Amino acid sequence: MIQFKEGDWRGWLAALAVSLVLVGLASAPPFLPVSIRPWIMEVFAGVCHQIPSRSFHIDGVPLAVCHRCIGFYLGFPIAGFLFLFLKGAWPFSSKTAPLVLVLSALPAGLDWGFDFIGWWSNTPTSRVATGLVLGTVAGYFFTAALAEGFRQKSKPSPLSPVSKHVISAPKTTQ
Amino acid sequence: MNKKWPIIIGIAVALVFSIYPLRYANAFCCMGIILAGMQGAVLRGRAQGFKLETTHALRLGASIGLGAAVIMLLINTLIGLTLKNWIVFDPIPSFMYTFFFRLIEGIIDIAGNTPSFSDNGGPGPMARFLFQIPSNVLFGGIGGAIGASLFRQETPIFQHPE
Repeated sequence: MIQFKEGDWRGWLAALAVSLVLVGLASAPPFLPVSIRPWIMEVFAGVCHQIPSRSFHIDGVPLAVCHRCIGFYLGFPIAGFLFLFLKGAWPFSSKTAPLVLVLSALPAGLDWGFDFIGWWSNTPTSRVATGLVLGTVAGYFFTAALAEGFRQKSKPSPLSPVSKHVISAPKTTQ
Repeated sequence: MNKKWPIIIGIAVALVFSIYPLRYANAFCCMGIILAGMQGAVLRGRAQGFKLETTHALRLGASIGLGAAVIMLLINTLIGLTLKNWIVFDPIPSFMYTFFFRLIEGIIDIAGNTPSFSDNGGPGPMARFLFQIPSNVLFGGIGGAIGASLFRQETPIFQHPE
C-alpha cells in the first residue's frame, strides 16, 4: 500500500481544516444570535441562492446554504477521510481525472435538469445526495492537491542553505 | 501564453456565470467561481508543460476569485449609482431563483415576496458584493487546487513493493 509522506499529513490537515470551517460556517446561523446571523448569510449569498424552501432548518432557522450546497460541503471532509483511508492514492490519469469530475457532477445535473423539464421532482434527499457525490469527488481532488503542495514544500530546495554555500564557495587558486 | 491570460480568462468565466441569463445555468451555486479557478489553473498548467505547483494554482485561483469579486463590486456600484436597484453581475440572484423554482412548482404570483435575510439588519445589498470577496477567494482557490490536481501523476491504490 502507498504510505503517507511527510508533507501529506500537513496537506491533509489543511484540507480537512478548510472543509470543516466551510461546513461549520454554513451550519452556524441557527446557533448564532439574531444580530450576527445576517452577516454569515451574506458571506454565502454570493455562492448560494439560500432559498428557505430549499434549505435545511434547525429550530425554524435556515442554514446559510441550500440542500445541494450543504451536501457538496459535507463531501469535502468525507473525501478527506477517504483520502486518509486510501493512503493518498491517486488512481486517475490526466485523461481520466477530468472525466471523473464531470461524471460526479452528472447526478446533480440530472436531478436539476429532470426537475426543470418536469420528468422528475427532486427532493431534499436527492439534492443532498447528488451534492454529496460531487463534493466527495471535488474534495478528494482538493485534498490530493493540498497534500501534493505540502509535499513539494517539504522537499529540500536546490537553493537550500547547504547548496547555496556550495555554489558560492570561493575558488581556491594555487 | 502570457502569464496574465489564465487570470483574465478565469475572471471572464466567473463573470459569464454571473451575467443574465447565463447565471441560470449556475445550478450548483458556487460552480461558476470553482470552474473559473479550475480553468485558470488548467490553462497555466498547459502553458507550463502540464506541470503546476499547488501553491501556484491556489494563488492563481484566489486571484481569479478576487479579481471577479472586485470587478463585480466596482461595476455594480457604478451602475447602482446611476440606475437605482440595478445589478448587472450577480452570480446568485436569490429573487430570480425563487421565481424560477416557484415557476416550476406552479406558483408564480408569490415569487416577489421572497424574505430577505438582510431585512433584520446586516450589511445591506451593496455590501453583499463586498462579502463576496472572501467567499470568491476561497472558492476560487479551491477551484485552482482542483485544477492543479488534474496534472498529478497516477499512483494506484495498490502498489507492488519495490
